[in-house]
Amino acid sequence: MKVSLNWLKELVELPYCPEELSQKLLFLGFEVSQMEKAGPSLDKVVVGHVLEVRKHPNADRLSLCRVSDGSREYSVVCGAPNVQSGQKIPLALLGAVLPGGKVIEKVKIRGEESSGMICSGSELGIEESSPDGIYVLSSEAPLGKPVQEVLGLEDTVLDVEVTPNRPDCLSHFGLAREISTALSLPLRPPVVQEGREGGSVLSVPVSIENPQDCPRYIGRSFEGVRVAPSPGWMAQRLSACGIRPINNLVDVTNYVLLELGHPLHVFDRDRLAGPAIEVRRARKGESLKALDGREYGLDPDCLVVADSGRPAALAGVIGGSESSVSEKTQNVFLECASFHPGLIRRTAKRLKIRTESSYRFERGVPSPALSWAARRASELILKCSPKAVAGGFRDAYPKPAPPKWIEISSQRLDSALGVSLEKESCEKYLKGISAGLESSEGGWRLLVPDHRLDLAEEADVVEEVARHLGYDNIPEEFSSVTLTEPETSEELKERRLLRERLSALGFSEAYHYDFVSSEELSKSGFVEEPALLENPTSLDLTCLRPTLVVGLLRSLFHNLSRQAERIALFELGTVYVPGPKEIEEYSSAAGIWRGPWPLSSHWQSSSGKFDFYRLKGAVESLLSLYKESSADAAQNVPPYLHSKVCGAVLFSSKAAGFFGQVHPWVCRQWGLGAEPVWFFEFRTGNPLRSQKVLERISSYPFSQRDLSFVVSKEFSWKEVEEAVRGSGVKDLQEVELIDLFTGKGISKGTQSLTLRLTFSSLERTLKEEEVRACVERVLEALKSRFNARQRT
Amino acid sequence: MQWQKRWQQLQGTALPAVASAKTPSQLESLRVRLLGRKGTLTGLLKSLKDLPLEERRSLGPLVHSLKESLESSIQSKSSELARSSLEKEIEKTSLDSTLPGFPHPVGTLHPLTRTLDEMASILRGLGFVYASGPMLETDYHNFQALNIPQDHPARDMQDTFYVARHPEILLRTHTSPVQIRAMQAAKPPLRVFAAGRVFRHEAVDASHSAVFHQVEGLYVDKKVSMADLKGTLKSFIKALFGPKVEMRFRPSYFPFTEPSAEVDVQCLLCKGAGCAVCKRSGWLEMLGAGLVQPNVFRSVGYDPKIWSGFAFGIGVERITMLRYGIDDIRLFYQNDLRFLRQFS
Repeated sequence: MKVSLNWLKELVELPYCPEELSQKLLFLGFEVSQMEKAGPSLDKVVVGHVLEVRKHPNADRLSLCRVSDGSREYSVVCGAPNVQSGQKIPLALLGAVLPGGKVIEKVKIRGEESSGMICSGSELGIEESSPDGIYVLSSEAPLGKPVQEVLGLEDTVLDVEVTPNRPDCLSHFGLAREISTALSLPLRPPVVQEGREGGSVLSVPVSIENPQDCPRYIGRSFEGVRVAPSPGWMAQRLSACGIRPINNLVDVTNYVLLELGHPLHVFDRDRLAGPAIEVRRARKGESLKALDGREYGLDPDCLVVADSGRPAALAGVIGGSESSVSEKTQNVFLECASFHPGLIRRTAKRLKIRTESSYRFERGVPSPALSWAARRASELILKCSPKAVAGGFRDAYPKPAPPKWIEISSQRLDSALGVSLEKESCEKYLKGISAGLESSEGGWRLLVPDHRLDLAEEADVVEEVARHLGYDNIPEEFSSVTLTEPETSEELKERRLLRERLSALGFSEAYHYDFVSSEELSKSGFVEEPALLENPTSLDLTCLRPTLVVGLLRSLFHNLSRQAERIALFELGTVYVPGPKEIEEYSSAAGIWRGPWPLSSHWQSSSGKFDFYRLKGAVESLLSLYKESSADAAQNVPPYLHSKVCGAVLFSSKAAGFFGQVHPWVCRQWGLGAEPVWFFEFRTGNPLRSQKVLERISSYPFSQRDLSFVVSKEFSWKEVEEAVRGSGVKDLQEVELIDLFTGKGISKGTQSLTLRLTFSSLERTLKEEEVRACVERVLEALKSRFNARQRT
Repeated sequence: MQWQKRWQQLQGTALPAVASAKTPSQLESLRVRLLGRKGTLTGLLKSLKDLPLEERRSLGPLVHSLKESLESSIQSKSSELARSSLEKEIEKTSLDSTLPGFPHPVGTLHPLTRTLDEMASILRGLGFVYASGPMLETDYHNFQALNIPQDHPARDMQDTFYVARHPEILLRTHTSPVQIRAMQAAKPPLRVFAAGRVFRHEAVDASHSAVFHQVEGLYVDKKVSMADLKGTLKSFIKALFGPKVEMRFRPSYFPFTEPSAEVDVQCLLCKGAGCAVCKRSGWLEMLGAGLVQPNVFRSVGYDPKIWSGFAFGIGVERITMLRYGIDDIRLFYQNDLRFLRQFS
């Protein structure tokens, strides 16, 4: 909210410079996000000296003045009764533009030339009205100096952030009241002068369909208004606060909004059917052409202010253009009402309209204070249209809210803040919040002031006391705490272990958004429909990722295009899979590798290559963290992987992920070149391997024998290994594949495997004959199962 | 030759001969000559039996003792020769230890992980226990239970991503729904922290990200006060930024805490003098905190008359940016290796 410091100073005594004030506000919970210099633009208005005053030859009420600015003399026609020779006055020179927009030009008034203007305070934009006439400056004012400097008219506009719980501070007076309470400074509320009331003014009946939607509605008719630009002072203040002046009627409503915080509206009464007002829900099919020029379709969820036929305004949000004030308007109807905050918010949100009015109504506008705002607006309307007369107030207030009291326990107050406050100082703070304070047993009863819609229970008052006490005056304590069980989060442990191992394996950790574009998904060969965002911020962020591969491919591409040679990244993140009813959310671990392994070029050896079995080895070293995990042949390979060069990750024999070469077509779509890209991904959250009881370690030497044999290629290594392990040799400890050979001397369709078998016993050293017998049994098993032939 | 004569000769020469052996082969042939099957000393020992009994008695032990000392001196000479020949080998070796080592590929952890881990370990040290919740949340957990009813203007403070065809779910806008889940799952007292991703419907630029991370703490017990909150946060901030850091509390508003506070830390770069990072104020906004709002307790079935508590939350990206002088939040999600490798 933009706050004019000059305006604020009118309402509360402020002994602070803008910086000091902004600091004080910060510690009351109001951040000043910006501070800028502002003020009426009074270019070419300088201090002049009235040398001579003569009567205008052709007009009784005008005078002809000879005025000097110190360097030149001007002849100026002036209508003010208080002009006298010898005065120092604000002289607007030719070309000056006054705050109301008036341009000073050379004119002839009743036959006499006038080259400039002697200004009143309201013309300068510094006073609400200037009944005496021109603004007389001090006799010491230096001739020719800009009036802005001499009068210190520079203003500072503060952009104050008001939190949603404090709608009472969304106005100059509201903020002044807050400052006055918190800093004990005298408050100067605007004094309303009642205006002219005419008995014959047509009264407009008001009816409210449901008092919950609209607790109070005050209306008043005005006849004989003159629609014109607002006086300079009003226009000046509106502009300073970021509101464009429109005309003296609309501006009054905005002025009162900025001053007192109550949104108001004026209708052209002659364009209201009836004229009558009904506050009701819109009917199906009704629509409204609003002041913003757009047509809104309405339904019973919208509250409208209607005339006897159709909606004339969207209540609390925006007025209708048909009943709006125009240049031809003569009679108006002023609305000053309160509406249900949630209803206004829903309407404004749904129709995507946000106005100063809806902003305040959705935060809450107190009904009891409406009459003050209505009277203030009336005063200003009459001031702007001197010939207008007002009708009586029509005040529909079916169920005034009863007074609200809050019980406060002094003990709970102390214990919440961690202080022990003296009764007197506590009462000082509470009285600042509300004059209605009563002592009760162990504490107080506080009458909630009308404007404090945020005060509902004790905690709200505790906060007020804390704020007024100052958070700095609350001590820092290191409380003794009730200890709870120490942490045993498997989730965190798993992630820590995976991260440590992956980085040791050469992968660097990447973070990606959970959002991917549908284009990226299709480039990655993904065909299933992903979960979609209802309201994406851009086309790049429309889908919730069903796999981590997309982000990793994106980062791979990013690094590749920045000439990185070896790119190895991993991510631990959430993936989203649409299920039949709900969207399932899983934690996933994935890694990608492109480029040499383990090095590019080193003086000792040439570059190495990453390949499927290096990937598999990396995956297996991750899987060794888990119970019942394995890497196996894959079925149902995901579309982004090479259908032949891939494997599956199993947990408890169930597939939970894949590893392999990224499908060459996917690489091509992503522009990743011909070099293979390697990828793995599996779901995490599986049981970790836990500390087992130690296995006995043999104290006897082991024996190793290498065994080479030829076997048909139709058998997988897994089958061979299982057959060896299942051969019933008790002392067989390890089976390693140390060579695989095809080619010369090995017939087509077969391959030669060399196993290294390790035998050992916990009881004794195995004898040569025993070892030989073991090897024989293994060989027998291979022969009978695979028809293998030993090579010698 | 006479036995005695041979003995005298051997006695004087055997040990010096061993001592003067130059190579392992010399030593070996000497050993064979003296102690081999046909060796001189072996011969003498064998023919001892031909001597008269008296001489046998007096000379026998002498011969045996010479044999023992010969054996031991041969052994030590042998190891001395082996050692010196090894030393010569070693002397001949040359190596440039300044040549590049063989690079084992080692990856790095993301800077956000580093900050998250550090915060987690500080909070664990303060007795907080990890709690977690889903990314896809219900409106109830993310808003309503946290005292942000439907149509509450505070919803504007957290613009929300919704999921198509699932109007009941949203992407959590803060880690606070974890508070609700933790309280629903346990009876007070409790002391938990949450850490993780959150989502805001915001345009992305150098200082705004639609995805970011928060760490959040919650303590519920009897008579938890603002003073306790200040003390706990002071020690958290000190552990994070060092013992000299200055901190200030000022009033703010969050629907789920009351009183609410914004916690500033004296600017880490200019030490309070005012610079571009702290917008000349000398202070940096760090945390949001406050006492748990009674309505939050009501929504999880805790009696606010008995229990009180505090909660606080901190942005992980912001802290990480300050610590490493990172000026663009988008760098965290771009995964440029030249960026990532700096955090090894």
